Amino acid sequence: MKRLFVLFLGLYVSLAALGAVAPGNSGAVSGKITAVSDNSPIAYAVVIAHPLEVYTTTASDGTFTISHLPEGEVTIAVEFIGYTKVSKKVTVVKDKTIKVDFALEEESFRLEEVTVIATGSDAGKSTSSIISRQAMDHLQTSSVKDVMTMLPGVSFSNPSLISAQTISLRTDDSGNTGGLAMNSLGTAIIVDGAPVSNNANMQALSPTVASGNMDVSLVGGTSPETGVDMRSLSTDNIESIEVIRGIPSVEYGDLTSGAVIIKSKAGKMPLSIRFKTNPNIYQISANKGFHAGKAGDFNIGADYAYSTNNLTSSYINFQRVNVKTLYTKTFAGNVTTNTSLQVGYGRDRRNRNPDDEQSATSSFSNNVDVRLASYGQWNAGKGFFKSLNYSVSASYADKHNFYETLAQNATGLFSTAMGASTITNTAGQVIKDSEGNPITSFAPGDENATAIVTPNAYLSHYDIYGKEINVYAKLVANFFHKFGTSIDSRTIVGVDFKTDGNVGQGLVLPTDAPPLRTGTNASSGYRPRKYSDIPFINQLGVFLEETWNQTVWNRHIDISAGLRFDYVNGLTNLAPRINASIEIVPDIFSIKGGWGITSKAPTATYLYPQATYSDLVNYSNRFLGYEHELVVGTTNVHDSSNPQLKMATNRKAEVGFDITIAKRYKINVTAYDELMRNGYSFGSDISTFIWTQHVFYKNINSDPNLMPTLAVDKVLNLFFRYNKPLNDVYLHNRGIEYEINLGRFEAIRTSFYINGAWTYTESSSSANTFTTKSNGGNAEYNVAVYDPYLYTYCSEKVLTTLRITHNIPAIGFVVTLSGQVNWLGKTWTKFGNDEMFSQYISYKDGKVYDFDPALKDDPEFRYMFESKSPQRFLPEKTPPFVIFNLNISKEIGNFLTASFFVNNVFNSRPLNESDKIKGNYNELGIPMFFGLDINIKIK
Amino acid sequence: MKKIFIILAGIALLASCKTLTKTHIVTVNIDESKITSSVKPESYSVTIKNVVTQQEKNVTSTKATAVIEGVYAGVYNVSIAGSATEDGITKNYSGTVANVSVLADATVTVAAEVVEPALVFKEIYYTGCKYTAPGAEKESNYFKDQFYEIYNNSDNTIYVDGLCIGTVYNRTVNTSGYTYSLPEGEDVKDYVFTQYVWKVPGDGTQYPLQPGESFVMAQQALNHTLDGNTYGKSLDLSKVEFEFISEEIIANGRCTDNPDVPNMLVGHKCGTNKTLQWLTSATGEYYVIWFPEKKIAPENEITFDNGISTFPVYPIKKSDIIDAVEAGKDEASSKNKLYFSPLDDGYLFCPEGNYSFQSIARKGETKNGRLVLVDTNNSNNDFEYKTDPQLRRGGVGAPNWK
Repeated sequence: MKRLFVLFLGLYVSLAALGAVAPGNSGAVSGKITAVSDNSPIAYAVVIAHPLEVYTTTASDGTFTISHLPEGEVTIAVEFIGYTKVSKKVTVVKDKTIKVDFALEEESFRLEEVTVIATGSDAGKSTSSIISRQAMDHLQTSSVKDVMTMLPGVSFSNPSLISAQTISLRTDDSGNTGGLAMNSLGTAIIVDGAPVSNNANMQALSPTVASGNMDVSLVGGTSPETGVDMRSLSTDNIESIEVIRGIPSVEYGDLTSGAVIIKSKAGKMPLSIRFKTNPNIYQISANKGFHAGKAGDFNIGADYAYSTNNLTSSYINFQRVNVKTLYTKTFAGNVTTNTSLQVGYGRDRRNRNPDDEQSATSSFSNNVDVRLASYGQWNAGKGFFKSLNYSVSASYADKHNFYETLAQNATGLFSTAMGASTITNTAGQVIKDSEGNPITSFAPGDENATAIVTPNAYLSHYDIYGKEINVYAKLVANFFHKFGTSIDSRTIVGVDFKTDGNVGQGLVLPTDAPPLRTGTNASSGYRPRKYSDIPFINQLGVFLEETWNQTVWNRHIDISAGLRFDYVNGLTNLAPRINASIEIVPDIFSIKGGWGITSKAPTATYLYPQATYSDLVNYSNRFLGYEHELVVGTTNVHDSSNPQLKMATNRKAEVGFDITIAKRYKINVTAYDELMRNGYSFGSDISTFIWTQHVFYKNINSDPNLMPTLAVDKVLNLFFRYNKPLNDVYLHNRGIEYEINLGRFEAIRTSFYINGAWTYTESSSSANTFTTKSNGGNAEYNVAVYDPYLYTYCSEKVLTTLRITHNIPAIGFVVTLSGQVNWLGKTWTKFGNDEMFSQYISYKDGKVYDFDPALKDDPEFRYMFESKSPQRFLPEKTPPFVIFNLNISKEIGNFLTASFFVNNVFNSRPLNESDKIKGNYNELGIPMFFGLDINIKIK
Repeated sequence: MKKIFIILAGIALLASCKTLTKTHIVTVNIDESKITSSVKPESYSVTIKNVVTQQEKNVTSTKATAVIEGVYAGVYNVSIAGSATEDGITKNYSGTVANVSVLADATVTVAAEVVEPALVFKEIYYTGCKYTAPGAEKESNYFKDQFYEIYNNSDNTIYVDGLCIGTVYNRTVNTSGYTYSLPEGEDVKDYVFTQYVWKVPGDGTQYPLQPGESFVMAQQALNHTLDGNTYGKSLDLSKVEFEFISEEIIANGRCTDNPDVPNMLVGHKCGTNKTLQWLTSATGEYYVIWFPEKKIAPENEITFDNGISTFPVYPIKKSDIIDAVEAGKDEASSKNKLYFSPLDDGYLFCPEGNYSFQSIARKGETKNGRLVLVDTNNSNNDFEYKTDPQLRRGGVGAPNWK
């Protein structure tokens, strides 16, 4: 399948390259861009020639020229921050310069048409939603995640900054197999052409001890297993957001679910001060763009946000300060660059709850990041090689996580040995047993290590210092050729390189107050780790894409097909992707589809996990009041990395249709199926159970106050258990998305827009499930091995959102009433054979054996079973319910815009009784929420 | 004539003297029909006691028969006492027949019946205490010092080998219909259920508890006052008789095994989650001690189904239970209490709640030089709250089992 595809692609490209028409057969377009209000010229407006995708910027006097355009029809589009986009179709004539002028209207709520919904993508391109600045203002977004509610099938939610905001696409996974985390890890966030990376983030305790350590919601900061935390990006700086939820162009790599492409504000604009508040968030920002003559355009923005989740628990809060400057310059008319420098500081803080006397928990997560990015284009002009686009970025993030809590019931072994050693509580002490056999042994480097037993309660804390470095560079060559009058062929060839690494000090532990171990797992010893010892992850991608637009029998055919090859630290992947759209009835009905493979490289935490340390006591006489306290502990170290780790890939497929009725009513339906079989998570396989024969000693000295003389008491066969990175996440998302845009009815000045989706998500794990049950009071037990895909978590949802927007241009007033009907919500679990395990690991020899079900009641095995409730098959269903949101924006005078919103206007929170646990109720919907936004523009 | 009369009188007198000092043989047959267990006492200690002179004669029977010689004529009380060990549990048997008239060789049949062991909970300390760990601003909770003290409230020696202790599962009223999967013919009203059965070790002859002595079982037999534990709070339990430490608990690394204190045995553990320590609720539980008639074995485990999920539980026959005490959180919680008649109806709650270093202690008074504890089968009357948990309150003796 893949080979055929490559062949096909090669054919296209060679056809395009051979292009019969000789270079030189081209014309030009030039013109002037002015503002409607006062005819003043607009400098640095971006002028794009579609479908070549060649662009230039206007000079100080508002003029522009694009040359080397092929004969025939092109579309010239003009955009500039704060003004509405305009595009016109122009017929290029050979060796002539066509003059086209544009007058741009200032974007405001006084316009006839206001765009406050997400608009769809063009034909033949990936399925995506574009959210304009105006829509973000009307919705009052404080983090990019807030705009996700505009996508079809996404439930309303209240804005929050109190915990990491990560983005997931087309999935509703609520099971605990890591599907949701993997989906957000695979969502690329691209700001000004360069991706923001979470690949070198290791700000969590080692997941080899417990995979749940990567859940940092209680500690603060961003988890290493999810995507980028969107709180670090201020929304007031953003000009537009495009969310690609379908099959992205091969230009975008290192993603599995999709991409969120963010363009920052650039260019001259008046000083705008914004103040935003709602029960959780206070936010103030300022933005101004200058035109510095020939030197270029500067746009500077600063933002401060403070968020607390609950007015009564303000000891949990988040603060963010962000400063960004964007510099735009066009050199000699055919080189355009946009360079931005962003400095941000984010802080999650969880102080001690004054009412929580017991746990004394406090934590903070500080994050300082600096990012320098630049993108631009060199218009080559000649022949079919049209332009060279570049994009580079370098970022540095300094993160510090701190967590302190009172560890309780914390008596346990704490060893500082870093290798396989048996040591005592006195550094360097060598002891032998009663028969003269040595007990202690020292791995190289452990000569001064000690093993102590920690007291029942102590104040434990840890610090994690991470210094993440990300460098990115991309170069894309853009070729365009027109065959006759009906075929446009655009080819891009590109290469991108990315490196992510962490040079921080890593995990730093106090010498005698470690984080609490898991009592039942000896392999849960924490050790310090230097992140600077971990190698950088280097990714090289090469891609090739052909976009073919053809008009046959008056019908447009758009095909975009590409191939991407990725090489990451030894792993490779080939990803073909195609998007196509065919008009069946001109201007009325077209069908579309797409298919592609996307892949995401493993991040630092999956490629280089920390080794696992098992600490177990051999002897202890502490806390008995004896004069000579002796503790003997054994440490074992295991490499927890997975050399067989592969790149996670996602197979996306789409099919759908678009209908346009009476030239204005648009209906889009897309059905999708996305399957990932090998997503990343930390889990267990047979090799993560280490069988060991552990020696317990007893004191044979009759006087307990003398130094103990140890003799072997017993030897027990025990298992140490840890987690290692696996490719076991299975995530299957299916659904049908639809959008019905009825447009604006002039007579009532109201527009209607409906979107919604039926989504169905299944998530599971392709690894075996293991259980370890204790056998009465005995310490030895077998490990039960169950089949893979033991639990499949299924979730189904049908959602429709209706948005009615009414605007009165004369007074600059826009009001949107959104109603979301949740028709069906159902979650259930499909079980494999969870009542009988197929194999077991025997404690007698550590080997795996097949299990004969007839031995179920044998005393050797009966403790390994647990009784299962027949209730577990029951699905949880929610009845239909409706939520209404209200958004209002009003321009006051010439310089002030006020926006107000209320979520769940009628405070409808119906109680739903759980189907599984009768008598348990939960509230449906979201709590009532409101917010105010005031924007002042000073010209 | 007078001479012969005197001689005759003298002979008669002599003759009657011989009649007065004549002893008889009393044969005591022991009726063992009321003994239900298969193992019967090897021998009995048979005592015959003159009601008037209070003089006693004691022999050891051969199986179920004893012969006592040299019994003067009179009225006697005949009593027997014996013990038999089966499956590690020693049962005491006794019987009395009163006012037996012995005028000639007599045979008495005394029925031997099992003596209900008069073991009672003397003091239970379950709340735990609070202390301040170095460097911490607020206090931490400490619960490793829980202990249970059992007292011999009778006049005979009781062997505590094989005594089981546990807490009752499902003791609050709940609205969902629940069922226990007891075998056919068994009535749920005859049972209470537990999830963890701990057993005193021994073969039936190793741990005799004399009248007036008590023994203590502690969660962990450490000196809890040491630095590293409570830094001066709590109490020293390093010399108690038993501690609740199993091999599994040792392997889980959270507890220290005191080598000088024997470990309790795990009779049965329901459920397969790992046990870090045997902790009972710091707000109190329904504690029971019993000698099991039916040997503790995994096959006896049944399931409790509350309509949502099932849990494994182990049945305890109410007739086996020797003493039961319930403690709970507060007054309000007592309203949801389930009643397991004929067991104790009381409900205690330490006034300061959990982690308050309080214990419940049975009241008693000294009679005949020995402390006799109150046992009216209603713990509300029988117990009082103490703010200073201590071992062997009232100066009772400790057993000498080393």
